[in-house]
Amino acid sequence: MMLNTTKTTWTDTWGQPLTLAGCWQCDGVFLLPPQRPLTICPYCGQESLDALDTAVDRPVYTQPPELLLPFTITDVNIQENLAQFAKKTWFAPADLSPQNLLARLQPIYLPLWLVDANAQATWQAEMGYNYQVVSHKEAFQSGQWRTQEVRETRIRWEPRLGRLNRHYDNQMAPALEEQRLLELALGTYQLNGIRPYRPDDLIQAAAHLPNRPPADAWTEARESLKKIAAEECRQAAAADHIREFRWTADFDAQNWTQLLLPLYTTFYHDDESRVHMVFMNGQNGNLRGQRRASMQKARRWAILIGSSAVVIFVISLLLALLGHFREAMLPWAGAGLTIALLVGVTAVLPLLAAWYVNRFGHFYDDGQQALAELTNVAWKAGEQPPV
Amino acid sequence: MMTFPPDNYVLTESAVSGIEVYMPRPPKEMQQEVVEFHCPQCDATTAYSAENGGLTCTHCGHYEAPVQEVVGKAAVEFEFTVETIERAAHGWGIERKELSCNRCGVHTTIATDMLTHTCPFCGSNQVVQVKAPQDVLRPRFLVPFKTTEDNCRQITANWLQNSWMLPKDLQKLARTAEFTPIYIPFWTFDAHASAYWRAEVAHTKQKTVWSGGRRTTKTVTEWRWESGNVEQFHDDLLVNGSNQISKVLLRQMRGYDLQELVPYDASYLAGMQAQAYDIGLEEAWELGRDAMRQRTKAACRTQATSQRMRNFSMSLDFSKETWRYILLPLYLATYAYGNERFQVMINGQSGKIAGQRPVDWRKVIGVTAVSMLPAILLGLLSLYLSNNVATADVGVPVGFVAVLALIGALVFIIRAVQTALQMDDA
Repeated sequence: MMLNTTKTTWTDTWGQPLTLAGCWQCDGVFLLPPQRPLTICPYCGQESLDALDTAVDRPVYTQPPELLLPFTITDVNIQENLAQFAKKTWFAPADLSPQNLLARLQPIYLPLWLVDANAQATWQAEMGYNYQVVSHKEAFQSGQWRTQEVRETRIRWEPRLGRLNRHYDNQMAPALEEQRLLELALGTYQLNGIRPYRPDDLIQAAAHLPNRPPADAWTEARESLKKIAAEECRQAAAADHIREFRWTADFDAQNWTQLLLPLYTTFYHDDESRVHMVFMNGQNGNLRGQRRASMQKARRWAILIGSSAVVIFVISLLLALLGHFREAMLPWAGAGLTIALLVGVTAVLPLLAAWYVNRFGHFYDDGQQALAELTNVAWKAGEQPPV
Repeated sequence: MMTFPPDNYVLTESAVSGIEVYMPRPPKEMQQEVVEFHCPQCDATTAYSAENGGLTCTHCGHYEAPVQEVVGKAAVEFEFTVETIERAAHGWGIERKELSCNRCGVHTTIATDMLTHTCPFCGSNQVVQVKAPQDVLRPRFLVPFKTTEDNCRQITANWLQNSWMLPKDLQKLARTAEFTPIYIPFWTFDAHASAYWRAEVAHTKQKTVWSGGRRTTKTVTEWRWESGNVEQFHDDLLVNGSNQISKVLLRQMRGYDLQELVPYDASYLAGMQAQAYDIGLEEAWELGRDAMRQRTKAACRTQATSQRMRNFSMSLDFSKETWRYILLPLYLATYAYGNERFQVMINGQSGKIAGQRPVDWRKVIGVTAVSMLPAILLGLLSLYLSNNVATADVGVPVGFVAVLALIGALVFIIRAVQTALQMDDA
């Protein structure tokens, strides 16, 4: 299905004929290249993409971006990263292959706000200054004292306050609700490769439209400015540490710029045909995806091992019967029974491993937790209908 | 509405343009280098009075109550920072400080280790707030004088007559002695000591052995390894900060109660002499640590099951080490007797006295000679009785008593001579 975008008005400002589409699973609103089929959502992998009418379904922010961070990761790196991901998943589902991941790979640009502002503030904080104290360790031996001087670094906290009048450029503020989770999952983008947006940037890639306008993102921008101001105040006071930073700030000359960040998305299906997303930072190649083990594959392995145990058990029984006639067979029969028992026990290991992967993942860190939050909350993974 | 910056903050250096930094205003006290004391009523000189604990006018008696409250042992203590130790090592220098009297305009010079000065021309009392190498190295606390000069005279008079070894005419000198009130610098040290000790401790036991066919009992010493831990907190160990005061006398006169510490205020020094330290922090801390080492070592040794030990070793970790620089009150007096001068010190807080006293050696020799008489007479009597057949049995017990009397006399003589020497040498 292709959407006729000729009627749109505001998308013209983007410099390309683009299709406005929305996903009813992840609530994402996208501008897609016109030749892109409106089937699978580039952000959540579900077949839940619908065309929107630019006149009726007006997104929260429609202005074209001013800046863009281009895709810089090479094709070779992309293939290597996907292959590594597929390879390192225990009992990977049949659908989780590097070829499938590569075939479903979609470039997408995510929005991010950059804000410039003048800040006038009064501030107060406790500044910590390192200092060294001298202590002593003594030893008495053979009638003599030996002294060793020990130096320890401590922090002296002193109150400071002041005024601040500074201009801040390009402070990042989220244009998407899930920006913090994406950053945790994929790492921070380095802004030194920024260039102005060009209409042909969206010939191949989709663009995710902001779901947070500047007024809404200002809360986070303010927090981020506060952190920067605290650090600058620490430097101004020549302190080594800072705590309890408080400020009362007024801002003016605010200037908001929309920046597009490069992201690759792909997905695979598990045994129950559920979609599992894999994300790759388009700048540095950081890859994060949900790892699901195939219980079917694990079961096959369990049956195979269990069958081997049964075979060994039967052979051992036969040896035991032979042992009635030739005693030399009895030790072999005993060894065979023990091996059958051990192999039989190991048969449950594939099932346990697969269960463990599906329950806890291969490893757990902040990034993996962020990904889980992304998929569970934003994508409502639990409610996904089978494909 | 709150004004910015608050009154108690001052602008300080900032390393970032567009950011002003304000810090708490340093205490004002040290901004005035010399504080002079005059009566607000008659402009005469005022001085600290130990009698009522405030400033009193020497002319009209106008009294100003003390401004500081007693903080006692809660007085702030300082850590041994590298910076403080390095700066303390510079001391006060040997230069002299030129002072110009605000009252009569005369220029005088004083040694930098003196904290007070009285103008020799107009008698104006001045307290020099000497610039210390670091703020914490100026005196921050002191124990004010409680003992008056009249008390000192009485204490000295009593002290000069409380021994039979002293000349009879000594007591009247107490009336003529000049008592100089002076604040002496002291360091106080706190530290927590964690010690582990190990030693071979002697255990004696009786053993029965057969030797040459005879059964004998022998005392045998067995050496057993013992060890232990001691946790000890050394609180406010006092170390003298002045080289110019007799350490022997100071030791005798100790016993300052630090519960009466008050924050330093120039008015406590008005009319008194006060000395700055000339034994630096590091040197004093070495002395203090040595005293703590010995105390902790003694505590370790008391844990052993016997006091006979060998191969004693211990490790000792100090922590929570802090110090204070304080001034303690003292009266100094000298008096002449014969051709000699004798020094007396009186604790300005407790009134405890220590010093040198001239010993009447003729009296000492006479008394010791007399103390020998009973032993000599009993000895002679014992000889006489022993030579007489009828009384020979009595002679032995009398001789025994004579020996006891001799021992008693010798003990008395040794103690008397020791005391006399201490009086003379103190």
